[in-house]
Amino acid sequence: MSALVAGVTRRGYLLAALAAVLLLFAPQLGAGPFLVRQIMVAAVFGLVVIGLNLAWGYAGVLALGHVAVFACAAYATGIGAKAGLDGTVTLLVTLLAGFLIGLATSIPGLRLGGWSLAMVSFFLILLIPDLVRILGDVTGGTAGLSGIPQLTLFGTQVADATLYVVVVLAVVVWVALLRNITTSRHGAALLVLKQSPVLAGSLGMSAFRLKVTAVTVGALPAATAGWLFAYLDGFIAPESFGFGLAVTLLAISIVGGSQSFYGAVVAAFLVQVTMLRSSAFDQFALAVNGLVLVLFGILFADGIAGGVARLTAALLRRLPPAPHTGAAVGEVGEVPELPGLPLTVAGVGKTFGGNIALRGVDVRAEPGRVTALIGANGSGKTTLLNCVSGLYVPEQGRITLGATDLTPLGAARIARAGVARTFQTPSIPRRLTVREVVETARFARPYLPMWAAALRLPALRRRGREDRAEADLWLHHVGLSDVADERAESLPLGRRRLLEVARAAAARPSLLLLDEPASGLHEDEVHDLERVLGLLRAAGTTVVLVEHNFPMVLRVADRIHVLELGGLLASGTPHEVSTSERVAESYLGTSTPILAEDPA
Amino acid sequence: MSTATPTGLVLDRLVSGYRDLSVLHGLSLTVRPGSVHLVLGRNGAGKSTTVLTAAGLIPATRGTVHVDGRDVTRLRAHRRVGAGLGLVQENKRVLHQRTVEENLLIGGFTVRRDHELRRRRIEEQYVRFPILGEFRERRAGDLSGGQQQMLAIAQALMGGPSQLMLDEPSAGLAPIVVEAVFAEIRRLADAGLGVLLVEQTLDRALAIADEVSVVEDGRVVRSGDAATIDRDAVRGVYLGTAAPKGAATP
Amino acid sequence: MVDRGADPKAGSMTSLYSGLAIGAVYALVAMGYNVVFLASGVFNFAQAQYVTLGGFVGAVAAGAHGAPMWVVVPAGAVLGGLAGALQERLTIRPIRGGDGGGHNELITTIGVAVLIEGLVLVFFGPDPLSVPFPGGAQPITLLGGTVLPVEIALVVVAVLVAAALALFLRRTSWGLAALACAEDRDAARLRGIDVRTVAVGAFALAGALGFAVGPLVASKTLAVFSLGTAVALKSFVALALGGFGSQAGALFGGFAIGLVEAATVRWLGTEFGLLAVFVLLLGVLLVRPNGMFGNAAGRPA
Repeated sequence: MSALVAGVTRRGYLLAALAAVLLLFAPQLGAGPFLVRQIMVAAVFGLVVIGLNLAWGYAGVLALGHVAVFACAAYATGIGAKAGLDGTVTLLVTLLAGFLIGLATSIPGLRLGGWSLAMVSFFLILLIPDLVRILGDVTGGTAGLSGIPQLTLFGTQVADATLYVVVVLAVVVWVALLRNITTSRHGAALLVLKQSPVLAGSLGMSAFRLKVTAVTVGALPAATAGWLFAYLDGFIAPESFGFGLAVTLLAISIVGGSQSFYGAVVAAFLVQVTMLRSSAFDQFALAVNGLVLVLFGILFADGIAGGVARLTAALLRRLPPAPHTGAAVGEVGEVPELPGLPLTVAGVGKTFGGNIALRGVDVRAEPGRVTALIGANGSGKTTLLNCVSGLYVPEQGRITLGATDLTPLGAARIARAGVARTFQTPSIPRRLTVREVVETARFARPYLPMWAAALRLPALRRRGREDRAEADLWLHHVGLSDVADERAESLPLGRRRLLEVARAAAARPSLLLLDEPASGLHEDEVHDLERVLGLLRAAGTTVVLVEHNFPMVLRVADRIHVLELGGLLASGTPHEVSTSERVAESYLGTSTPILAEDPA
Repeated sequence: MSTATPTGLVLDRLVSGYRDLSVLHGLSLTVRPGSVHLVLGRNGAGKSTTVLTAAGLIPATRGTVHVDGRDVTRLRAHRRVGAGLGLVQENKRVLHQRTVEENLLIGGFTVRRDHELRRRRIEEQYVRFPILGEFRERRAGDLSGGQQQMLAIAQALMGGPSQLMLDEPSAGLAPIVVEAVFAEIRRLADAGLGVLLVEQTLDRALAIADEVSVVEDGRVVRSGDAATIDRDAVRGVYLGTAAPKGAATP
Repeated sequence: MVDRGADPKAGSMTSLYSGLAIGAVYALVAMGYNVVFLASGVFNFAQAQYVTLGGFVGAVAAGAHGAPMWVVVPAGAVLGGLAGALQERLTIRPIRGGDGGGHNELITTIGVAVLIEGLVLVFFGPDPLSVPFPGGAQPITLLGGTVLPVEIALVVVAVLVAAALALFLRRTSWGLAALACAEDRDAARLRGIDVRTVAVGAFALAGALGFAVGPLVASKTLAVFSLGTAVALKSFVALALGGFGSQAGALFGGFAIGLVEAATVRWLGTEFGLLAVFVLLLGVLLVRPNGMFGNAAGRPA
């Protein structure tokens, strides 16, 4: 019994499927016409909210424009149906319109971001009644659009009972598709993007593309909802789509949990049967909606879905642990060839206000070699790495990788050009396992379209297997195989750094930038790191290492560049640098060379 | 051991960190009034976390912070300023959008009711760092790195601290500026201020320090008198040429 | 929606004056946004609803009971200060620094706005109430158009409040403390500034401002439950146009929107007013994402 409970608890989609079947046969199970109608309206709202949640909960874009998409789709469908178009045609038209509106509003909208985007999309909603009035000839103006014929599919008129089935199936299909996206590599990418845009960029994820895709894909269920809504009553009016609806949908999203699709559907039903049960003109509706937003905003930021997740987590802790399926790292493959590209930094300068961080630095790093950058804190090492990886735009100079000029490119483009990096303060997203963290490095190399994930195409599975093999390979080499299935945020600092190295290596970079990978590492971890650096170097990639652990630098570096006050102080072999008095003076403020004798 | 000193800054067995990452594992050290206590350590050892925990920006999960005999562990960050604790954060963190004078006025927030005192302290800073006096209406973000560092120190001094912590004030500054800044720090200590100086540059910082502590993995692994401490051993810890493990605190 | 000044049959100068007066309303709300945004980084959607509440205070106290404005306005300000402080304490502070990345704050401020609007609807119903203006309702002829005394008062008050706020921010300890918080909260704490007090103070100040100007605004627009929603978005646009954090920008943005709206309504028709403002917003944001008076950091220059 407990095994059954555990199995079902771990596989939430089974419960969802069961609920969907029950819902589908609700009329046969004794639901009266009133309840059936309530279910249909709730399903329509639920559809809009799952689209909203993809954009907001997952991609972090509060774009309420989905309400506008909903309205447009409803009007387009109503007008089309009155002109005698078949339901299949109006559906295709509304989906296309939703897609275009999503695309057209998200591109300028994302330039604004944050509050601005939320406000602009709110504004769009307030415009709906005005637009309907301006286009009064076709929309019926303030009086509304009446006389919309019943839904016909392929020329056959659909009875009310069948319309119910269509509505429920639409919800099931969209929830399944969107869930496929968020449980795939795209879900992990969205998680990374939401927590750290900087990290997402360094992994080659284009924040802009991900967000535009999420908003646009999210517009599709909203468009479907509009299509259904027009056929529901055969009548639509501008008041149905105003500020009140936007607030209701927002409330549904909050109550359900903005990072859940099941939650959205459940909350839509709750809100529909409780709050909106009485007439829409109920004078208390507005106040209640406001109160719900405030209370849920404070108390249950993650909504019903969050509460259920905490409950199941508590339940799972009491149940016997799941059998370890594939928990251990499997067969480890060979380290692949990693053809490196030479990095040339020529005359790069960067200032912050009156503060000069880099003053015309020239550095070259060769493939198959480890090039170390050392210097006191504040000498410009990390600034230089940030310029190379595209986090900063240098004011002067040129940075080229092989034949590619990196200078004008953004972080994501540079990452896709073959540059991978680690961070001085490890950037490890939460809520992913160690293996999943490594796999995120392969998101953009090459990019797999979101629809492939939504439809679970074989290409997705194949990529999944490849990603896993690559992740396991590098986890093995950095000595993290034992924790591959643990939450990455549970790792201590030293192991986080090694995880970052594994992640960067899994991107198969032509240029690898390491920012103090050895700091905070224990002795044996430093040796693991040195061994991995050796592997990467032998595989042919170009390695640039910023590091304070001087003995390690002397052991692994082929060439050392010393920075001081944003300029190049010295360059040379480890031996030349370690015996230079100038370097010691700059680095330590002492005149004794760092090593009096040759490194052993 | 450290509670015997009633004055100064006393950190006792501090444990703290960020979210799910613990950084300090029971760090103790004492800064005596009128002295410079140099804290050395590799990046990631916990130096910045130490000063941030002492200042109250990161909560201590265990351990205590005393300023001049007063337990400030439970005080919020802004109250610790009133208790006499000042911090100059790393990276010359001044308010870039504000002018030099506005930065100083903000630094004197705790004495805002005593206009005369605040004015006097501002003039003191202009005497201490004359370049700031010349640029008083200039936006802080437009100052050079060295000037920003001076402004950061001046801003912290506006609160009238008895104990001042400085996190890598020499980072990114030209040697001549570093020398000027260090000389000023020494003068401040000689005038009675307790100074906790987090640094990387070894000999130059040792020259103005009275005591030294080396931090490794969130603990003090070696400490002693700046004049007599084994510099090679300290350097070894910092550069990683010697294993810090097992090194005992004298 | 509630733009009484937008009468398509009025003369063009008269429309212009009315547009400026409505623009002053947007500017006043936008300045309230600014104060809170600077001090605590929160965009308080409910600011416009404070103006609504102030308007109803005016309608009930001055309109129905004949209380003099010199009593109504300060009393309203006190109420507004309390309301603002309460909002910060109950719906903002508990969720500061959470995982929501500012989204939770946005939700609760929208929630408070909707709640206020809903409560006003419950207690006062959907019909607008009028608020008498002490300066009378006799139109004044000026440069070929007519202007109401209340319209002149709105423009003057907006300019005075903008100047007063700008002076307060740059010349007082608490104002500078707010600017310090705007730039770097941790740095502010290290200078002895209690960022919580600053945040609660900012909400209280903005609440007081909203309530205090409410009766004046309602003298022009009438007191109606939906006043806030109509004004909130356009005030946001005023801020986006002028640049977040800048009082001069709020003033400029407010007047610009009032004028554009009045002109559109006058020459194209009522239903194009909102659309024109929207187009203006998109245009400006695409050309200058930080507004006319804003800088890259989204902070005042």
